[in-house]
Amino acid sequence: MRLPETRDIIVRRMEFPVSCEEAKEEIGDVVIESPSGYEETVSDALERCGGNSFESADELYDMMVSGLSEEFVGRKGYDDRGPNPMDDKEVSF
Amino acid sequence: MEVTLVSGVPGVGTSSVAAEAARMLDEYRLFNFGDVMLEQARAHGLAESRDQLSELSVREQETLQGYAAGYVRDEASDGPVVVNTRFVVRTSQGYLPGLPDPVLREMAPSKLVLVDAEPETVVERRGKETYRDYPETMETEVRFHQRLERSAAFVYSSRSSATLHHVANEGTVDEAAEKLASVVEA
Repeated sequence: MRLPETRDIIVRRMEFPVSCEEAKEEIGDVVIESPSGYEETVSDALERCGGNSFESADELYDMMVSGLSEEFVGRKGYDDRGPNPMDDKEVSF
Repeated sequence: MEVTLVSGVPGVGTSSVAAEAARMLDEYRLFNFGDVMLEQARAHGLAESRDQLSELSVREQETLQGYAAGYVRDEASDGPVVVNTRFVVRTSQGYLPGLPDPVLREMAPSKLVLVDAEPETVVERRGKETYRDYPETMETEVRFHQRLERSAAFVYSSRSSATLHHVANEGTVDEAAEKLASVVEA
């Protein structure tokens, strides 16, 4: 699933506060797909959260976002994934 | 296609209320409009975090809003969705409409819900929040933002024919979530 879809999974399946290990146990096997088609699991994204615990869905979600690999992060002004929906409005990146 | 848009000023508790309501609504999926914008901003090397979104140019933000609206429309074609969004966005350059006309048309909401509380309640909640930083800390600033949200909500309602609903979040999150869930399901 795409990253924004995990919000619904988090709020339905998690009780907060939750530890990093508990989060990985509950939703770690969920596969996240980048806009370019690259895939990794929630466990991969939470690999570095160590002994952290999360008080809210926002905290957990943001940790996932920051833990995703570079495949989810583009280079400004460059797009090798074909037509860019943002190009339609002539925004310069 | 059924889209319910939920908004409230930062700190009023919209995310908590929407999350709790989502747990009561089995057939609805919850999305956060900012999550979609952030995913795209990261994919295009524009921003790394949620806070950096508000630093983007007006044009970049509008483009991301447009993309997010298309994403919501596509997801809503698979089933009803509840979208946590901002009717008015506070950026480093000033306040902006969260749902410019093309964005509103794309999502074609059937319901708009404003989660609300007294300004002093919002200020108090912001003071207790340890995770998010809030630039507005005065009641007058919160009150102004709330007025913008209410005005924007009515304008969006008149332009989209979506019904407008008010959910007070002065008591417990569960109480507000039950009200939101009942509005969404009605």
